[in-house]
Amino acid sequence: MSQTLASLRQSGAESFAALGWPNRRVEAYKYSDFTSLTQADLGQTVAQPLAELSDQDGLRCYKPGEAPQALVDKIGSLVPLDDPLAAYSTANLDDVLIIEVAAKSKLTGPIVLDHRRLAGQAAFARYLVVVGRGAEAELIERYASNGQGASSPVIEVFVEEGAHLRHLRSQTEALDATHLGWTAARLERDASYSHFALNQGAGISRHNIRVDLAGAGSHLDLYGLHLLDGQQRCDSHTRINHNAPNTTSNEVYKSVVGGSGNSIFQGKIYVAKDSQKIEGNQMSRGLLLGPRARIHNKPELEIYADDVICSHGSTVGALDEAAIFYLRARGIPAAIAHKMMVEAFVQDVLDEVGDCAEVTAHWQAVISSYLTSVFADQDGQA
Amino acid sequence: MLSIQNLHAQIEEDGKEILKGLTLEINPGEVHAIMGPNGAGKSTLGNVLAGKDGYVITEGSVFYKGQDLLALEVEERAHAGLFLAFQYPVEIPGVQMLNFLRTCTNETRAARGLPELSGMDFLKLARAKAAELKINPDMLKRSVNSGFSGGEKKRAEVLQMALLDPQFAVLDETDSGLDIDALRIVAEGVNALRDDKRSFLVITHYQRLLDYIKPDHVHVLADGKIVRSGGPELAMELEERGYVDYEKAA
Amino acid sequence: MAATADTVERVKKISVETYKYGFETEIEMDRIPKGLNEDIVRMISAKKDEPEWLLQWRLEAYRRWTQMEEPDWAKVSFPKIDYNDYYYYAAPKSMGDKPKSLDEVDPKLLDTYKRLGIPLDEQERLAGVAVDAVFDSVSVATTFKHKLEEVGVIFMPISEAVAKHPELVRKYLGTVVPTTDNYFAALNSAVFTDGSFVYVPKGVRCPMELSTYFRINAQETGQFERTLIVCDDDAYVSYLEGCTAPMRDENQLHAAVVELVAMDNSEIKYSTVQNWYPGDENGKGGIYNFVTKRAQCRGVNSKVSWTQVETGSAVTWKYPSCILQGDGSQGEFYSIAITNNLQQADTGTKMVHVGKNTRSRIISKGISAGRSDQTYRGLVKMLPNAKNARNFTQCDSLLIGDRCGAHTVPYIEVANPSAAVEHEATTSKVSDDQLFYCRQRGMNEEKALALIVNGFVKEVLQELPMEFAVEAQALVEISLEGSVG
Repeated sequence: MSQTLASLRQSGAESFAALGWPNRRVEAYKYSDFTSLTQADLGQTVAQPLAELSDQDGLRCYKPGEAPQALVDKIGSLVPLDDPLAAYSTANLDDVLIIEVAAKSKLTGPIVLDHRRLAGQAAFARYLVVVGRGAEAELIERYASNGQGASSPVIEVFVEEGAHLRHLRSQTEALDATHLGWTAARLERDASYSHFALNQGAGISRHNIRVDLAGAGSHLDLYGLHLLDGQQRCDSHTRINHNAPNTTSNEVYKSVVGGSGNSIFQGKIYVAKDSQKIEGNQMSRGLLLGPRARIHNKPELEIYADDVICSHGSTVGALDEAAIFYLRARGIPAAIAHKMMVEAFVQDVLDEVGDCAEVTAHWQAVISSYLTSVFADQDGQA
Repeated sequence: MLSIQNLHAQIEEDGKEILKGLTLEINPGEVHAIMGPNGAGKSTLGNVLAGKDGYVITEGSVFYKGQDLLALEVEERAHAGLFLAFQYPVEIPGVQMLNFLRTCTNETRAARGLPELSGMDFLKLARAKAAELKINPDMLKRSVNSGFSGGEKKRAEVLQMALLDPQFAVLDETDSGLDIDALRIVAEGVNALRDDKRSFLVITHYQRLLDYIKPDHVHVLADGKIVRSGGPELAMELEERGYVDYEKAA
Repeated sequence: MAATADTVERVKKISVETYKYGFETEIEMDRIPKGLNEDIVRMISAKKDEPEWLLQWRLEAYRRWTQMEEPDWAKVSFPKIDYNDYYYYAAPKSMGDKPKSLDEVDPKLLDTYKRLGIPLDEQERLAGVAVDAVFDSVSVATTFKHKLEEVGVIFMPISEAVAKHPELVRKYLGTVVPTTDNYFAALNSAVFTDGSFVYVPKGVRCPMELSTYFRINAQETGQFERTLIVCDDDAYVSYLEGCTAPMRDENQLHAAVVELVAMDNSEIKYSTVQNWYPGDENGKGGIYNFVTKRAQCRGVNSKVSWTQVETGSAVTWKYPSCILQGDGSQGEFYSIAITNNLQQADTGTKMVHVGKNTRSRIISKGISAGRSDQTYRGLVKMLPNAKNARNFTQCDSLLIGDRCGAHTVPYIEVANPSAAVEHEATTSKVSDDQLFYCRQRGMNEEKALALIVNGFVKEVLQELPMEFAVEAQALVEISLEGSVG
């Protein structure tokens, strides 16, 4: 292990030793206690091979030992070690893959980071992605597993001046798995970044997202879905920092909760002093499908500049009975009507996922299998 | 009344020049129409005359009744009798129209050394003006322009004009978004205010408003300058031929 | 942009001369020694001739308080408070003789209230409003007491109610806000001095507005009032409190507890115009306002609405709440909060839906100017049995000048699928287009801003009793004076 990684690992370990697993007294973890995680939940630490990438024009991958120092220095610079889950992952990191998209290049195919963790394992994938000036790329990040244990991946993303990155992340781990993910991104002048987070798996999951709009004129789109059933608890915690003027952000999170599921969304839009001409909009909407399902939303605005237009909206409710009645009166069976309504609820997020057939098909398949199982469970209860 | 000499104005934020040497003379009692293609600088002219922030005057002068108009604050221009009927009247939720109009009227009266109108006197006056203009007096109870239809907004502008009794009124695309009946009502309101002292500058893209408000002079504004001036017949010509010639020139 | 720079310049120059309640009444005071310990608690209780149960209740609260920690989660910061550096009881000496009627009350006190616009004597009284006037730690006078007694409404200082209606006070005191609810509630339970007690019996619609006027006068003194309002079945009451204090360089502590109990089909309307001294333009002085206000809608179809206009205080920590227990009960929270200069306010509400078909509505309008910081913090909680419960929240913030902060922190917790929660929040500055439009019609910038801001808060002002709406509107304008040109 290189000196850089060893010392980063050391900082992570020290920080985690000081912080420990977060409990509900920590405001950022108000609705998610992690103190009861067992060794089985976390898995045995096994060195997980990082995703392997095939070369394409404009794309270069490095190990920290071979990478230019400027890239190596970026490792760990975006993920705050005062977050206990970031510290935990960092304390256990084994290797880092550095992915660089050359300036002005437009990748022909997506960068795919695929992870299949085996039951009992603990995985600590770690990536640094740098999209060079004016470059365009699409990044697919997928986490799946076949049983207990935890994935605690950390990805740091730099979108340089005028560059554009679409980042599609899906988490479909086994229902007894634990997922503790971190995504941190920094956008330079006129850069744009779209992040899509599909959260369907894991018994306990937490996804931290932190995006710094550091360059004037940069733009962020952030979309997320929670599709929960059974005893699942899924917590997304997003923080958007408007640290430069003329920056814009748009965030939409949708939760569908069946069974005794618990969906948690905490999202903050932060506007720094002197970051003028900001537009930041956020919407979080939740749909409760069963009597024991729960939703906790905490949207938040923290604003220190005046020339801003910021808003958030949050709604929680059940499926519209009047609409279901209308569909049934037109001859659509209740079960199909329910599915149609949920599909309609998540459709606007799906619409934004875009035209990459592989991704769209994956998302659609996840949504479709979720709907089949969640309504089968509901029928079973009734 | 109004004398604009070689006026150059640019947008403060990006330095883009919109008015590029505009010259125009308007005498008391005259109605001038300014026509021109989109993006010629028509609305900028109205905004600059009223003193809106966000523009920089780089050259030229505007004298209004002998005083340097550009040296005055927005409200001082209003007190001096300049009225701008907005292309897009601004909505102010929660502020009752009547209260708004009374505040405007009394501030203007105070600046002119006239006594304040009491709530009762003003209400009578506002109702009378509304009736003259065939405006439903219920409008006075609603929030300023909030939830007004396009026609209601423009009628409310004419009502304000009638109450504030300006010497010089700029009508910025007052016809946009109006059907023919609403247009006629608005035009009648304007015509009722015409006399040998009051002047109007009617900014429009289409000739049809000028069927109802007959101008004395018509000017074509293209690329920030008056490129042609004439009588009402010029408007008819534009209606037939469009702005093609002027867009090419620009 | 020029306008913004101008605004900031003028905010800097804002003067506290606008705080017209900043005078001090020169009057001989009876005080107990500075500091806080069990003996002080006993002394307060003895001053009030309290029964043993209440003393024990206070002592229990005090002991729990010593084990608690000051909350630090609110977005406010202030130097550490030395709780031993305050007087916990201060009353005009003349009140020691327990004046039997207004004629026996020290004219200086009556004059003070007159200057504050609250005449207490028979001839000049506000028609249709009964007033309880609290001066530091005691109630000076309560008007219209007898007229209210005729219909069975009890309205008196809480210390008097402890003596005259012990069964009622004991039945309800501390049942909505337990002594150990939070740090400041525990402190208040230990040392509370005066405040109002209201009981509206079954089926009675209180014939007039009830109002308490709180005045802090003495130096280095904290005010810890306690208000308890009980509205029995099918009863109705509208209550309003007002508060002011002299201008002083040191910070003064105000930690109140207000408990409301609404029984079947009853309604309580509680309005506050809070205008404690906010401190000067450099943030020197001002009241620390740490208040726990909670209503329990115990009865079916009961209703409580909180309306607040918060313009004063250096630091505000306040979340008037409703526990919606009775099926079909309703809670409302209408708030205008204005912070200027270096004021800090962390305020909002909690709506806890326990019963079926419960409804809540939150309208919050925050205005930050100068270098102030303001946070809306709210909780909407739907418990598992809150079938068909509904909440609507609208939370708007307006920023005036680029050195202030506006924050919105709502917590939404839903555990019943038939419940529906809708929350909307916006933050923006006063629109340049609105200002330009008003100025083009002849208003100067200050007039235009006052008009637009009044429009912004209109929805909440409308909720105030008519007698106070005009005063509150004027207060909104005064609070922003100097923040624009």
